[in-house]
Amino acid sequence: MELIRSESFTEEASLTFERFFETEHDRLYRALCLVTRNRHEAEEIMQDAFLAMWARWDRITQKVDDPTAYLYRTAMNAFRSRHRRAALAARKAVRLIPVDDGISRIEEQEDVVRALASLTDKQRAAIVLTNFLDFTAEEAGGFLGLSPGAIRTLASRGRTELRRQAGEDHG
Amino acid sequence: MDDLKNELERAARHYAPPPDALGRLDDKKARSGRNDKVGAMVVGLAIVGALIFAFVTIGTQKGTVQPAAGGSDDVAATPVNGDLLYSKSAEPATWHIFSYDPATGKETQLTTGSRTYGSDWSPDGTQIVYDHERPLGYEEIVIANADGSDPRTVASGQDPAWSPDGTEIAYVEDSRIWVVNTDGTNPHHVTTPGSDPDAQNYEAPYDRNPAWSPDGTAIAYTRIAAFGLVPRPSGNGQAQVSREELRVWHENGPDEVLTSDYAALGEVDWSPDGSTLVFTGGPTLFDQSGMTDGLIWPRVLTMPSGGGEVTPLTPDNQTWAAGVTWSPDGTLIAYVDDNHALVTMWPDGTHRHDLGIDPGGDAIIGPSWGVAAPSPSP
Repeated sequence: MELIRSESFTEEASLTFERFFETEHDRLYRALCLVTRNRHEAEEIMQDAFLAMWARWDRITQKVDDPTAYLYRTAMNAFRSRHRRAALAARKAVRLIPVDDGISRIEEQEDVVRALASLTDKQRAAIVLTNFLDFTAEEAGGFLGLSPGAIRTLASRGRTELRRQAGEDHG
Repeated sequence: MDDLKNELERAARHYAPPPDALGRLDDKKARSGRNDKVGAMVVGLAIVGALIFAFVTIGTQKGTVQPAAGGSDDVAATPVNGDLLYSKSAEPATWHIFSYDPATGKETQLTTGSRTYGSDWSPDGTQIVYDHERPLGYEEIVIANADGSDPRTVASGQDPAWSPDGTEIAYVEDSRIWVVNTDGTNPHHVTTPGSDPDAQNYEAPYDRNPAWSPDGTAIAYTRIAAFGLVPRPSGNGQAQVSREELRVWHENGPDEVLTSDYAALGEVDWSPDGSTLVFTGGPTLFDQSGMTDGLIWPRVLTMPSGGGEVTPLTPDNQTWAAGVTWSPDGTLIAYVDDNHALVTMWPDGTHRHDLGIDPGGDAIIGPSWGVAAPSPSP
């Protein structure tokens, strides 16, 4: 699956929020599932990010060159806020999240998902942003409020751990 | 690398978004709109109640504890160090404010419910201020008693810092530094980094991390001054880097830019005598002609509050130094090392000591070092 970037939207004066949502939400949701390992939290973050953009959609279409990057920055702000200080979130997530939302079944099928569980939140985010979504360390660092060096280190440590887990699984 | 991407792509196929995702978003928008209205009513009633309470209290209790300005007879010459205040993830998907008594090692959770982050002590150690999340990610500035009781909202924003005379809170909102009275009146911004407040979190410049000077006439803060593009190491296109500034807003005078050589700037604090600033950051790559693959790790740094040479206090040992605070008696600096260890050290960087606080599920945010609150009158 190729990352769908919205540069083309900026060339269209008539970009609607609904079309932007339909184009972007699938990829963002899947990425957030990988990062959060929780469908409900992923949807909460996704919704908060889109709602934040919806509230200022006119300004975004006029002033933001890359709404997709803006979306991911907003979503990662939300994720970062949940796991640090910095912004958006679902106040009732703990109460609403079921014990098993299907992640365990996926972990049984996909080694990488099971291995991702052993990483820290930031390592998962760094790997998903750079290895799954193809953002650069500089871009990912901007999303997460970290330096490019920190992103590279987090991703490197995460990949090392994933390789170690893969070795154990197949060793 | 390609193998990992392929594995992630295969795994992601299991995560189909919920059907009618746009409809669910619309529902949430409608719900949040109602909640905002209810929340506004609650906040409004709370402010009215607080004003009535304050009016009655001031009118009937002349001896009510009020933080005193520097030099007042009510303040001891050398403050006694009290507890450290910080936020951490105590359980999955939650963040709460905790206090920690370095003398006894006792940790106390002060908040429950919604997620709470940046925090600070009142100057007399009897109250705390923190930000907590509202729907859609907006934060409110909340003041509570030192044990977390009686929380009341005073503003919308984050990163609160209590003024040394106890009457005002500095905080971040819409990319600017604001100041509000502790009763919620007279919110006004004191910095204007850019012309478009909606540029927060996306376009520089924006300001954050306010810290009052001990005499209350200045606020140190950090500004992401600009994002720039430099060639990627691979030679394929350009990448974004930031240039950040350590600045001081003066009540009577123009802002000062103390340094623009650093990025990833974190919290700032003043030495109790006002002579020195302590902050965290790493060298910026903004002015370099090209990216390097070298790692950048924020360290604890000090600088004369009037500007001058930056002195690293912590070694370049590839750990991420974040939030930093100066003890009220000036003898110690506390900071968060590698996101999870709350460490104290002497102001020259020696005698580092990990307090051994359990970081919980993720990281420790903060900290803020308060004075020992006065004992209750018999």
